[in-house]
Parts: sequence; C-alpha cells; structure tokens
Amino acid sequence: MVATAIARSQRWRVLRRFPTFWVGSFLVLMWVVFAIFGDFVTPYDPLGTPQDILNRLQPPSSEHWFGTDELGRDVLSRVIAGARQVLTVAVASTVLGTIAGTAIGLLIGYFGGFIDDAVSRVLDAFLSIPLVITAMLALAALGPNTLGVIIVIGLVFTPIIAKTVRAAVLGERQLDYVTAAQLRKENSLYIMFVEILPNVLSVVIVEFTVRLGYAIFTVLALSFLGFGIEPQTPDWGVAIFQHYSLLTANIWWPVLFPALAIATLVVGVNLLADAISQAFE
Amino acid sequence: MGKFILRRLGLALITLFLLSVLVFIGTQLLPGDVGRRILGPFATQEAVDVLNARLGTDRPLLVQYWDWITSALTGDLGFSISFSRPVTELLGRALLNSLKLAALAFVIVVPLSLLGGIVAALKRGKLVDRIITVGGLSATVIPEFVSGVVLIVIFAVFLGWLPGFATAPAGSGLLTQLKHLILPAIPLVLVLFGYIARITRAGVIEALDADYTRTAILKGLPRSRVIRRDVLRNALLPTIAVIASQVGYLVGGLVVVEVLFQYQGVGKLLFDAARNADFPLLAGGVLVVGAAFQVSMLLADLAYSWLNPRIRLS
Repeated sequence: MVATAIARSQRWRVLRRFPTFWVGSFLVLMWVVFAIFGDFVTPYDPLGTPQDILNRLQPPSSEHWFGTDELGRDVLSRVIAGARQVLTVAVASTVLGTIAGTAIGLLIGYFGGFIDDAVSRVLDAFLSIPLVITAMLALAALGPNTLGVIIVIGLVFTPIIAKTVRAAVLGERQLDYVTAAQLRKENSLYIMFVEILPNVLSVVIVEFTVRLGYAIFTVLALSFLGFGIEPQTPDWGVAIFQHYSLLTANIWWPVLFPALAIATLVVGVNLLADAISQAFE
Repeated sequence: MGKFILRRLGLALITLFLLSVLVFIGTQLLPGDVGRRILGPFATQEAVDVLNARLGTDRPLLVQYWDWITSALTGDLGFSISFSRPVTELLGRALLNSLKLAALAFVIVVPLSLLGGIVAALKRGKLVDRIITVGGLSATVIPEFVSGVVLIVIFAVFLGWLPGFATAPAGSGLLTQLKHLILPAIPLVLVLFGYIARITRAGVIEALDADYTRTAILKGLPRSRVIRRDVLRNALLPTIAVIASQVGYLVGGLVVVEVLFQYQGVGKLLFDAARNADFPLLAGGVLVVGAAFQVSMLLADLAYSWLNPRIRLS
C-alpha cells in the first residue's frame, strides 16, 4: 500500500508539469460543469418553450449571443445543454467497454492457450470493420436509440481494451507474487481480480482516458449521421446536421458554435489523456 | 519467407471468414424479421411474408449464409432494395469515387506528416516539436464533420474560393473535379496527419537513440549524412505499416465526410443503406470494405517483412 501511494504521488508530480494537463483539465472541467449545472446557466430554455418562431435564424446579438436556430431556439442555451447528452453517452459506453474489456483481457491473458488464440481471432475480425460502420450496422438492425449507441460503442471498445489488458497480464503472469498465490492454492478468479488487477490498473486507466476521446468522437459522428438521438434533445452533432445545408445561405451561427463546442471538448479530453499516458509510462 | 507469407495468408482468410459471419449476424440475424424491419409495423403480414420470400429470408439461417457467401465469392452480392440495382454495380461506382477522394487525401498527407514527424523528432523538446505534437494531436481528435463545416464556413461561405460540395457537374474536367475534392480531403488529412506524424516522430527518435547511430556519429560521419543514411531508413519502416493500416479508419471517416459534402462515395452509400434498412446493400458494402481493409493490412505486413529481414526470418 505504501509503495503504491508513493508511486501515485510521483505520478502526480510528473503530471503537474505538463501544460497540456492543465489546459485539458480546464476544458474538460468546463464542459462537465455545464453538463451537470447547465440548467442554471442557460439564458433561455434549450428546448425552446415558449416557441419563438418569429425570431428564427437571427444572427448573434446582445440578446442571443450565439444567435437563434431554425426553430427560434437560443443557440447558446442549446450548446450548453448539449454537453450533458454527449458526456453521458460517451462516459457510459467507455465505462461499459472498460469493465467488459478488462474482464476478458484478464481471462485470456491469465489462461492463455487456445482461448487466447480463438478470442484474439474474433477480435481481429471485429476490428477490421471501422467503428462508425459497425455502429451503423448495429443501429440499422436494432433501430436507433441512445441506449443502443452506448451498448454498441461499449461492445466495440471491449476487444480493443481486452487486447491491451491481455498484453499487460502476460507480463504480470510470470512474476513471483502470482506464483506465490498459485502455490497458496488461491482460486484463479481471486488471483486475477485481487492480485493481478491492481497491478495492471494504470494500464486500464490510460486506456480508459484514451478510449473516452474516441467515444466522444464516435458519439458525435453518429449523432451527426442521425443515429441514436431523439430529435428534440439538444445535441451538437444533430444541430450541425440540421443546419449545415443553411451554410450556403450565409447562416453559419447554428453550425459554427456547436462545432467549436465539439472541438474544445475533444481537444480537452485528448490533451488530458495524452498527459496521463505520458505520466504513467 | 514462403512460410511467413503462407501463415499470414491463412490468418487473413480466417479473419475474412469471421468477418463474413459477423456481417451476416449484423444484417440477417440482428434485425429479427428482416421483412418486418423493412416494411415497418403497419404492413400486413402477407406483404411481409412475400418480401421475406423474395429476399430469401424465410429460409433456415445456415442455408441463407451459405447461399450469400457462395454468391459473394462469385461476385454476386444480390440486389439493393432501395435502389433496385445490383449491389456490385452500386458499390463499383461508389468505390471509384471514394478512391479519388482517398487518393487525394493520401497524396497530401503522406509527405506532409512524414516531414512533420521528422522535423519534430530532430527538434525534440523544442517549441517546433511541441507545436507539431500538440497541434497534430488536436487535429487528429476533432471529428471530420467539425473541421469540415469550419472549412466550408471559411472557404466556401466567407471567402467563396472553393465549392462547399464535392460532386462536380457531370462531364467536368479533371481540374474542376479536383477543385471540388480539395475541401472534403482536408478533414481526412487533418485526422491522419497527427497520427502518422506521431508514429514517424517516435520511429525517428528511436533510431536517433540507437547504438548504430551513436557509432556512426562517433566514427566522425557528418550528422546530416547519418540522419539520411541510417536514421531515416530505419525509422520510416514502421511508418509504412501504419499508413497502410489507416485504410480502415479512412472508410469510417469517408462516411461522415461524404455525407457532409454530399459526395456519392462508398461511405455515403453505406449511410443511405443503413438509413433505409437496405440490408443486402449494407451487407455487401461492409463485407467489401472489411475485405479491402484485410487486404491492405496483408500488403502492409508483406511490404514490411520484405523491407525488414529481421521479421521475415524470425
């Protein structure tokens, strides 16, 4: 326990030195705050009640800082409210994929042999279909809905995370503490989850933060393509999809502001992930 | 070498078989009653039965799979429901369009990102390195449709320099086509740049720190010559494999870019197929895309082992 505490404080000391860590944390924290407390800061109702259809597609002004969209809804309010949708779906799918992937990675890494070979083959086949297309395939088959998006992304992440965890477990399996536990006749599940898991946890954390970036990327791409989001929910991808055809008419604000929101969030998450993986290596 | 190729080919075949099973599950098993999924909840049971009989989806699953995969192997992927045309014909035309867009993106990104990675590695820790690394990372993670709309706002709306959609008028010359493809190619370039530059940088740094480089420098050879002769030759090897492995990403990225720029490529085709529950088209498209990815991985591995005897012999 003492050893891990020291390792942890050392990592923190390294992490603090990266400017990317601070910039990333700031951007992510900002959107997390909006996702949780968004209801208190939005100047107007993001769902646009009462309807103000006469004020549709107004350019940015002192009343509507980011302008209004094609239904007269305040773009700023919808940008703030949209953080909740993307963060919930992305975090839920990444958590799902991380838990399932870590469990499978522990199993195939620890037992090895035939299970390892067979599962690795299936994983490779799975990974040869691009993520967006796998998701489209599944959502076309199951019908689009938010829970479907979470499950599909989680399922696609599972093999990727399993592969990484497996590699880490292979390194641990040879070590004395595992042999000692085996000699004590501990059961395999105990060895995997109580002995090995804490030692590969840093790999899992790094993988989680990196995957979270990809999850956000994919959730937004899918919502832009019109898969998985109910039409009324404030969502950045949907907002861009609904308004990008207006770009040719010089109406750029309902598109550009959600786009900037996406850019700041994904860059923030990935700067953070990059700093964490560098500090942990 | 022969044994290596055989082993690698065998693995590719197994993966392809598993891929076909996955696609089959996704397009025939998951939808449940395929006819019902296509016609919706209000269609009469007779209509659903007729459609299922026409599509062959009323037969046992194993028969369906066998039939589908054997016709696919002879180049027959069935009939698209929404376009009423053979799937192969639709895919052929779309693949050609996507290939044009992808080729343009690669022609721009490969030299650019190799140069970026090499410069970053040689100036390790300096400001240039930080700008390329952090800038590249940021460019890689921003979704294509986000950079795409920003590009349209700037270059098509405000400046009016380039068209904001990708399809050139029918019968237009190469230059006009190229002009229409520049904006759609840039989001792909941005995503690939950070990734390839990062791998290149890591490869060059590893080679710079290697013993043979130190020996060459200590031997008194000029630094520029050591970099050209020893460092780059070793460092660019892994990069080749990485570039080939990006074909898979590229197809996913093409879906979003082609939808945004209204371009009739394979990504747009798969998108339309998924939206219209056109399962024959979806199955054929995903199978072809997955197979193309497997082939490009295979070629990358072979090229890599041909260039690097250490792998070939082990």
